[in-house]
Amino acid sequence: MASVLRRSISELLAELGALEKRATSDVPPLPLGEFLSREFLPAVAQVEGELVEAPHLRAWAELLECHRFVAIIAFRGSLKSTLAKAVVAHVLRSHARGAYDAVYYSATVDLARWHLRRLKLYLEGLAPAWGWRDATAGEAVLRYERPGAIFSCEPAGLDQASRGRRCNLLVLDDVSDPKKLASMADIDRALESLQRRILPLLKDKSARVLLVGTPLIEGDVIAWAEKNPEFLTTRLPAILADGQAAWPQKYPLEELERIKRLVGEKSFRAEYLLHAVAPADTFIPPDVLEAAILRGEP
Amino acid sequence: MIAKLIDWSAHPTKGNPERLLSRYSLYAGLDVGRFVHPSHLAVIVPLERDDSGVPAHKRHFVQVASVWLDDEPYVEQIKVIKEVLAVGVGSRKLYYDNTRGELVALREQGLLPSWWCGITLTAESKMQMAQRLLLALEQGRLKLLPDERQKRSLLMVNNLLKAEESGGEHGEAFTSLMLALEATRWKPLVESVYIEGLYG
Repeated sequence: MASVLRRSISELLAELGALEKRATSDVPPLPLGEFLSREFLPAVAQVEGELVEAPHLRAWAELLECHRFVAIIAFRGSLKSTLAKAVVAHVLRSHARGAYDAVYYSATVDLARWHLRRLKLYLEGLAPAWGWRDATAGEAVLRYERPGAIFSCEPAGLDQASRGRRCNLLVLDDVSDPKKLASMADIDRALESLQRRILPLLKDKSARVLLVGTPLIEGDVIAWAEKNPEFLTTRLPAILADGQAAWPQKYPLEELERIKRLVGEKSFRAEYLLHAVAPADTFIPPDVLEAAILRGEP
Repeated sequence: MIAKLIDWSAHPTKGNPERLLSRYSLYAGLDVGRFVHPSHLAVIVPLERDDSGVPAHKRHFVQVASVWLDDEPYVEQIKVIKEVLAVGVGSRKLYYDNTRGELVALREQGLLPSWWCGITLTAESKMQMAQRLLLALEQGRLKLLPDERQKRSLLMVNNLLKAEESGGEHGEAFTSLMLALEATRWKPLVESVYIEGLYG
């Protein structure tokens, strides 16, 4: 009786092992750069419409393959958030055994939820093809299961008072909220939140952090990451040092000029040229004010 | 003490009294103060007529009044402001900073005209309004009077939208101009004609 039972158990375990093997071996490993161009960006294009070729994404992907802590500081519209989503999707694709937890942080939890809703749409066709079953009806939470493996990615806001969750991957996507930077204390609070509440909750020494964003004010989270030797930081302003457009396929110089006229000089310098403003500088630059004052005839 | 700088010379109505009666809207912003900091009233007018069909927020504006009211009782301030704004026959809107509620009692007593609208500023709304003010100045859509005190006041405000306490001014003009510009975004359901006595 005991030997029959032992045999049944061993057969069951062997079957389970074969099932697991089948589930994972169907998905051959793919470096992040390849994954982006072959699988992820086509899925994004199905939701967002046709995408313009973005060579810088591949360079960023290579950095992410080699480093655990990466900060990508780039101009608005450079697809840095799309890359952050791709990193989460890539982990989902390659995760084979046990539980994997990711947290997607933005300045507010609503913004993080928006990002994950979009990511879930991108994954609608991809995740089942990788053998994952969607285990939640929540549209802004990722929870996938397959034999022997669980994957979750939850949204969170840097403004939340609660403690963070332990995780294997921490994505920080535009965590500085310009509307909340009302004082130096607000800036310090955001930074302290990251240092004391969020980063200590990385699960183990293989856990990763990806920070993407645009600098807003000197001394904010982005500036901290840039100064932190643990982070590998890369910067991509819309106009490079040699005066060329960083992404001419989408933002040629004339388009950037149009954007500058639309958003104004100061915003353009911050959002597109990545020049953070000093907290103590005047909000209205003196030359702008001088030019706006009527002197004699209009 | 009241210091008024009222100058319509940059407006198309200059030298043409008949056009003063045209339907030019008047938009005002008021930063309320009395003891430590003064009140400041900024009045701006569009350069186009109301019936130009151009959406209000896309118009170009010129400041026609900058009024400082130091240590004046609120009732006196309201009287002066009403006088300043009693020109022309176009519609008008005044937004005042209601964050600390200085004028609540006067509103309850019916002493404020109906077209005065109290705005409670939050960190979020203040940043949005400030960005709109900066953009209007950068794009040359808002021209300001050459009031040195106003200029000093505007330059007191830093990137965190805080004004230094050390100077004589405290960013009052920043708030009033920001609110005046915000008032231009207001859309009346029915275009009203201002008639003194009927509206306040």
